[in-house]
Amino acid sequence: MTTARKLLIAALAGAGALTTAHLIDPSTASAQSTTTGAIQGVLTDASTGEPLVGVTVTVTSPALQGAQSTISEGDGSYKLTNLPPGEYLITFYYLTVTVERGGVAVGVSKSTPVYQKINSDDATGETIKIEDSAPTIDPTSTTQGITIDKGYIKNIPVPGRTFEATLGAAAGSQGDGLGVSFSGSSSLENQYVVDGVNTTGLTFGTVGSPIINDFIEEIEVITGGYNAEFGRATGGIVNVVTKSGSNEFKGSVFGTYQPGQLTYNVERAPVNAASIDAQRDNAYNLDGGFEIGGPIIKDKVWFYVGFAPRFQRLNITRTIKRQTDCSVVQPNGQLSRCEAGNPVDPMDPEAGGRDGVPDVDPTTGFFITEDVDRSTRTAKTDVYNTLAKINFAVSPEHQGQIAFQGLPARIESPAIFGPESSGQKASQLTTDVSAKWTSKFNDNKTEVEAIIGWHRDYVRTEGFDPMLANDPLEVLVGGNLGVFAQADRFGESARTREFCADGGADDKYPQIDNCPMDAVSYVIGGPGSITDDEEERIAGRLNVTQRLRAAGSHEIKAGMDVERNTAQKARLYSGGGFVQNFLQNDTVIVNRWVQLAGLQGSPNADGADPRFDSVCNTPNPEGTSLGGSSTLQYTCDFLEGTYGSPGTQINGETLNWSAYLRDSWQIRPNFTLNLGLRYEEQRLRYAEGLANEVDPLTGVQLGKNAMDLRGMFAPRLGILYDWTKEGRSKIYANYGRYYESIPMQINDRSFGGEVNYQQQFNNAAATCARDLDGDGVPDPQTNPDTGGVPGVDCLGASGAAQEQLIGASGTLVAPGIKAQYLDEVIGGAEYEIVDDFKIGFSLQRRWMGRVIEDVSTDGATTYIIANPGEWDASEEANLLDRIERTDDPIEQQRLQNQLFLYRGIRQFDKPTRTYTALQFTATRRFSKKLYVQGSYTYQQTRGNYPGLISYDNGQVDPNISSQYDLIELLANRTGPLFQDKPHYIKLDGYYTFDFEKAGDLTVGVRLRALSGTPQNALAGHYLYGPGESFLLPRGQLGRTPFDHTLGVHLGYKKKLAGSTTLEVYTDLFNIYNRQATAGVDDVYAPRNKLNGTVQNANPVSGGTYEDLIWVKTINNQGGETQAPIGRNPNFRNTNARQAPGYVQLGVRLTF
Amino acid sequence: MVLQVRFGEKFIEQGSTTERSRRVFGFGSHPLAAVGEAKRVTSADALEDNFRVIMDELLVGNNLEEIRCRGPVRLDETVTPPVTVNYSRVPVGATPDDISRCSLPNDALPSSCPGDELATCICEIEGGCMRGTTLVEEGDPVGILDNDLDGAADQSRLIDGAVALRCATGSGSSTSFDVPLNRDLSYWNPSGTQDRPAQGGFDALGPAVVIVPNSVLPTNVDCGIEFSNEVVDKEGRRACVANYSRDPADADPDDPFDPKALQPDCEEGDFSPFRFTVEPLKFRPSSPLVEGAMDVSTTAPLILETNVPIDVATATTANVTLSPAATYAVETPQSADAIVITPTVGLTANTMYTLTVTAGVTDTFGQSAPASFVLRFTTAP
Repeated sequence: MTTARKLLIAALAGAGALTTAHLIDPSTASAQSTTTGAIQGVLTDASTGEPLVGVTVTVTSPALQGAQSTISEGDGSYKLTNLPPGEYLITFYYLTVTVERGGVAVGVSKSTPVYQKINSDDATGETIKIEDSAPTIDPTSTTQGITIDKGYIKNIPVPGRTFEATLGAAAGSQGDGLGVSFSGSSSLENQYVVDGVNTTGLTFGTVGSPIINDFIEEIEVITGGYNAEFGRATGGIVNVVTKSGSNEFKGSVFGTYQPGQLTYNVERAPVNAASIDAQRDNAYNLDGGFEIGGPIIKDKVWFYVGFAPRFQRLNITRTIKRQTDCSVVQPNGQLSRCEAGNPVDPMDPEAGGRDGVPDVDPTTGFFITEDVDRSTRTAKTDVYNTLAKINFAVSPEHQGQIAFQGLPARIESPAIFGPESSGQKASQLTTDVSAKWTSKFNDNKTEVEAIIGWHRDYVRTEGFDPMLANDPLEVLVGGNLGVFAQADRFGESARTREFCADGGADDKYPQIDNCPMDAVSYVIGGPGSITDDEEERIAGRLNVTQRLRAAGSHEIKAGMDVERNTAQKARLYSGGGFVQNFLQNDTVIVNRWVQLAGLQGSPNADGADPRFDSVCNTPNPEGTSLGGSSTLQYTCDFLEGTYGSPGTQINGETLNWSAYLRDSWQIRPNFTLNLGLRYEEQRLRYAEGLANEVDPLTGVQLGKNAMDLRGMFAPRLGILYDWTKEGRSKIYANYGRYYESIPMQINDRSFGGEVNYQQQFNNAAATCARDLDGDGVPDPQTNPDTGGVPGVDCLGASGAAQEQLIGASGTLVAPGIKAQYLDEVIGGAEYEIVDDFKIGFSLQRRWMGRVIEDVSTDGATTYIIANPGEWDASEEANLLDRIERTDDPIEQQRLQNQLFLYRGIRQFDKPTRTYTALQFTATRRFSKKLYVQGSYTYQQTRGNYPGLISYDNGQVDPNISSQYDLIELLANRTGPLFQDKPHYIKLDGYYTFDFEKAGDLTVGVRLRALSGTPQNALAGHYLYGPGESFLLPRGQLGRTPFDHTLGVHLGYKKKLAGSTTLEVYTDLFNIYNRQATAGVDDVYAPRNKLNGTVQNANPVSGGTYEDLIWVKTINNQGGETQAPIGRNPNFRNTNARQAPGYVQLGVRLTF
Repeated sequence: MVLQVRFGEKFIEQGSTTERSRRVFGFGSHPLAAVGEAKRVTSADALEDNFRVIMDELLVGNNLEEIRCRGPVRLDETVTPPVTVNYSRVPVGATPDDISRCSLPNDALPSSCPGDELATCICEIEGGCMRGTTLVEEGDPVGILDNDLDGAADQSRLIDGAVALRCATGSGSSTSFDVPLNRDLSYWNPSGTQDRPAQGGFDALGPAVVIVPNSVLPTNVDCGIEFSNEVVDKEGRRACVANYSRDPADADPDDPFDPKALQPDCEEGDFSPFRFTVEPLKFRPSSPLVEGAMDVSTTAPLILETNVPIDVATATTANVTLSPAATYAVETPQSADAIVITPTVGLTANTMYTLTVTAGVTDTFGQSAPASFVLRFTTAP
C-alpha cells in the first residue's frame, strides 16, 4: 500500500531504552488471572519429611479484602489464588502449632512458592514466626518477563509518568519510537491489558490507555513463553493492575515538576542546505493529583479514585540561518576571515571574500551559515488522568469490581517549517469501563472469572487557525525563505525578512541565495488531513479454573473471549486536497481523496448518485496493446467539504474470538508440564457501504467479511524441573506459537474503498492559470508570497500532465489467506543462590511462520492482501475449476486475470524475521533495604521483515505497508533489522538508608548501555516516494554509536503523624548529559535534488558503498536516465539525539 | 557475465506487410518473456539507439565510466594535435565520500582533495589546467563538476574503449570495425535486479551497461559486443558472455536461450556467444511509385526511401539507373534517408521503365544492399 498517510517516528532506539522497570521477581508464572496472583507450596513435617495433610493456610494483606484460607492436600500441597498483588502474611495452623511467615510478595499472574516445614513438636501454643523470605522463583511457569511494582516506580528514576515508561526494564525490550518492543518484534505487536480488559489501540496497536504511574499497583511484562490464556500478540503482553481500595483509607497527594531551567539544552542537529533549524526543549512538565481508596462498607465494598492532570509544554526554537559567501578555505585547510564586501583576492586567500559560491566547511561538508533570528513556538499537551473503581465482596469467594478510566486530552502542535498557523490542534478522549466477577467453589478448587469491558478512543483535529480550516495544506518544495518571509501572512520576523531577502542594496551576499529551502520544505495553508476518528472495543471474557488430583496435581484452565472492534474514520483533506508545489520546476502535484462510481459508460457509473460529477483519469494498465485506450476514465466524486459528507466517513469492523484450554500438570511437586492449546479467529469486515455490494472498482460481488482468518491453533508446551525441590531453582523449556491480531488500519485503507487521486501539473503557471479578468484567456500569475505558481489554483484546473488513481483497482484478498504468526522456543535455568538473590540465563528464539502483507504482482496497479511467497495450491485448483466452468467470457477473463495475479504472489520472497537472544539476569528483590536487577542480552534480529512498523521510512500501516508492494523493492532488504542491537546491558537498583526518626533516604540508579542501530542507504521510488529503495544491503553501512545513560533518584521520606509520610525527591536523568546519536539520516539519494529535480533509484543488489558513485537516476515516469543520482547533503548526519539530561522534582504525601 | 542483451529488431507482424520495430531479448531470456520475445536476431533495427547489456553480477564501475570535472584535467594524445579532456577516471576504492570531498567549492579543494590516491579530477597536464580563468597546477584538484553542490558528480560517461559494438562484414570475415558510440549517452548502471519492475518493463533489468551508438548501425553485418580487459567483476574476473550449451540433454533445441541450458560460468574475455545481424539496406518506393505501377507521371520525382541514411556520394546516376535511358538527376535530402530521381527531361509516355539501384549505393559505413533493387513502372499515356 502506498504511503499516502505516514506517521513519522519521533525518536529511535535509545529513547525508549531509557525507560525502566522494577523487577520483584523475574520468574515466570502461570497466570491465575490477569489481575491477581497466587501462593502455593508444599507442607512437610520437619522431622520426618512426610507431607502434612489438613494444615489450615490463611493469608492476609493490606491488598486483600478480608482473609483467604485453604487446607493442604494429601500430598501436603496447597494453593491460594485470586490474591491481589502485594505483601502477605501467611499463617499455617497445624494441630496446636501456628507458624507465621511475613513479607511474602505476590505479583500479578505470579504464583509465589512458599514451602514450609512444620515441627509438630513445637506445640507450645506460641506462634512461630519465620523471618526468611519466600523463594523468588516460580517453578511452575515458563513465562519470561518481569513484574514492576510500586517500589520500583517510586525509587528508580523512570523517564516518564505513565506505565509505558517503565516497560523498557524487561530484558529483551527496546524503544522503537512508537513504543517499547519485546523479543525482536515491533511495538505494535504487543497487547496491553488494564485490569483484565484489552486496551490495545485499535487502529495501530499502540498503547490505548496510558495510565499515570501513581494509579498503578503493579505491571506485569511478559516477553515470551506465555501460556494459552494469552494471545493476539506476537510481541509481548503488558498486564497493568491499578490500585484498589482496602479496609483502610489510604492514598496520596503528589506532584512532579520538570522545569525547563533544570534541563540541559538540546544539542542542535542542524540540517544541511536548510534555512530553518528546529530544536525542541522542555519548557516544563507538571503534574499533580491525588489518589485515595478505602472502605465504603468494611469487608464488603471498597472504592478507589484518582485524578491527576498533567501539563507539558515544549518550546521549539526556530533558528533562521542564511548561507554566507565571504570566506575561502586557505591552503592550510582553515577558513579565512569573512569579508563579505570584497571579491576573493587570489593573491591573498587569507582575506576571504565573495566568489559567488556558498561557503562550505571543508571538514563537515556543511554549508556555512550565520544565524539570522531565533523564535520560540510552544507545543502543549494537557492530559487529565481519571480513575474510579468499586470493589465488592459478597464473600471472600465471590467478588466483583467495576472500574472506570477516563483520559481527556488536548494537544496543540504549531507548525515549525512554515507559519505557526499551519499546525494542528487535537482533542482526545480515551475511556475504559470494565466489570469483573470472580467466584470460587468446591473448596476453592473451582474458580470462575467473567469480565466485560469497553474501550473507546476519540480523536478530533482541527487547524491551528480556524480561519484556515477550509484551506488546503500546501507544501512548498525548493524555493527561498527570503521570498516567503516577505509575506505578512506567513508570520516570519522582520529580521528574517531583511536578512534573507536576496538582492537589494543591503544584501550582504548578493551573489548567492541567502536562505534557500532545498533540503526542507515549507508548509503553508490549512491543517491538511482531517481527523475525526472514533474507535471502540466491546469485549467479554470467561475463564474457568479447576484444580484436581490425578497422577499428580492438575490446574486446568479453560476460557473464551469475544471482541467486537469498530472504527469510524474521517477521509478528508482540508480544502479538498493537499498540494505539493515544486517551485523550482514549476510543477504542482495535487492529491485528493475520491470515491469512484465506476468506469465511464459502465452501468455503475451511469446510474450513480449525482454527487459523482467528476472524471478521474488513470493510465490503462493494459496499455494500448489490446487496442484499448491509454487512459481509463472513472466517474468519481472528489471528497471535500465537511466531515460527514457522503464518502468522508468510513466505518469498519473486526470481530475476534478465542478459546483455550490449558493444564498445568505437576507430575511431582518439582516437575511440571504445561500443556495448552489456544484457538483464535479474526474476521475483518468490509466498510459500511461496501459490504455485500458489488465493488465498483473490481466488479466483484463483495461479501460481509473481507478477510476471514480461521484455524489459528496455537499450541503452548512447557516443561519445568526444580532440582532443589524448594522452589529455589528451575530448568525449563517452552514452545509456543503466537498469532497476530491485525489492527484496524487495514479496515480503513484496504477494506474501506480508499482511492487517492494524484494529478501532476507541469508548467503549472500556465496550466493552472485562472481567467482573472474574465476575458476567456487564462492569466498566469506568480504568487508573490512563494515566488511560484499559486499551487491551490491547480485544485480546480484541468490539463494535468499526469493523472493517476492509487487504489483504483480495489484491493483483492488472496483466496485461502492464512493468519500471521511466529513460533518461539525458550530454554533456560534460574537459581536462587542466596536468599532473595537469584541468577538466570535463557536462550530464546523466535521466527516468523507466516506474514500478511499486501503485494502487487502487476506493477502497482492491483494490490492483493496475501501471504507473500505462498499461495495455496488447492485454491489455485479451485480457481482453475471456476474458470473452466464459466461460460461468460467477461467473467472468465476476469478470473483469468485474478489467476495471473494470485500466481504472482509466489514470486515474492517469503518474509523472514529471526530473533535469537541469550539473556543473563541477576535479581535481588527488595529486602534489607536493597534492590538490584541487572540483565545482559546478546541478540540478533535478522531478516527482511521488521514487523508492523516500517522503521526505514517511518510508515505505520500494519500489514499493508509498502515493504512488499513491488518486487523490485525487495532487493537488499535482508540483513540486520532495526531491532538488531547485539548488546544491551540494564542495571537498576536502590538502597534505603534508614535514619530512624530523622527519616530515610533512598538512592536509586538506572543504567542502560546498548549497541547502535544498523545504518542503511535509501533512495526514492518513482511511485512510492522517498526512502523506499534499499540502495545497498540492509545494515551494510555500520551502526550508530554504542550508547549509554545513567539516571539517579534521591528521595527523602519523613514520617509525620500516624501513618502519614512526606517524601520529597529528585530524579536526575542522563546525569552526564550524553546526547548521543540516536538516529542518522539514512537517505542517500533524496527524492528532490538540491536543484529541484525529482530523482529515484533502484537497489544495487548485493552492492557496496563504492557502487553508489555509478547509480543512475530513474525519472518520475519510471524511465532510467544516464544522470548519476544526486546525494543527500545530510546523508549519515545525526537527525535524532538521545534526550538531554534533566531534573524532575517531586513531592508525595502518603496517608 | 552477460546474461541478456536487449535491443530492437525489425519484424513483420503476421497478416501485415508493414515492417515494425520492437525490442526483444537478442541474447538470453527471462521467465516472464512472452513467446517470441527472446531469439537470435537476424534483422536488428539499424536505427537502434540503445543496447541494454544486462549482467548477472556487479562490475567495477571505475573501469567503465569516468566523471566530469570543472575543467580539463588531461590530454588525449591519441589525436593530433592532442586535445584536453574534461573527464577523469575514479580510482578503484574511492567511495562517494571521496567524490564528495572533491566536489567542494574551489577554495576548499586544496585541503579537502589534495591529490591523494583516492582523489578524482586531479590536474595531469604539465603546465597546469585552466579552470575557467584560474590556472590549477599539475597535481592539484580541478574539482568535480557539481553545480548543485550536493556532493555527487553531475555527469559521467563511458570510458573510451571500455565497451565496443564490434561488427564484421560477411560471415567469418576478418574485417571488423567498431560502431562509434555516444559516450555521453552510454552508461553503466549497477542498479537493478532480474525482477521485472513496476511499469519499467525489461528495460529496467540490471545491473546493465547501456550502449548508445553515435549514429545508425551498419547494415547487413554481424555484430557483437566486447569489453576491454579492464572491465572486470569484483573478483577481478574479466567480463564475458554467458554460454547456452545444448547440454544438458533436456534443453529445448528450439529455444536457444533455455534457462536449463545456461552454463554457470563463461570463459573470461569470451564474447562470442552473442552475435546478431543488422537488417540490410532497403529501398522502399514512395507512393504512388510501387512495383508495376501504372500511369506514373513522366515529370514528377521518383522517390525511394531508405531504412538508414545512405552515403550521399554513392547516390549517382551510375548507381541509380533508368532503363530505357532517360535524362534525370539523382539527389538526396539532408537526412540522406531517401533517393530522389527527378527527370530533367520528361520520361516517355506510356512506357515501361526499370529503375535499378545497384550495390554501388551504400550506407554511411560502406555497406551495400545484398542485391540490386529493381522496380518496374509504366508511365502515363
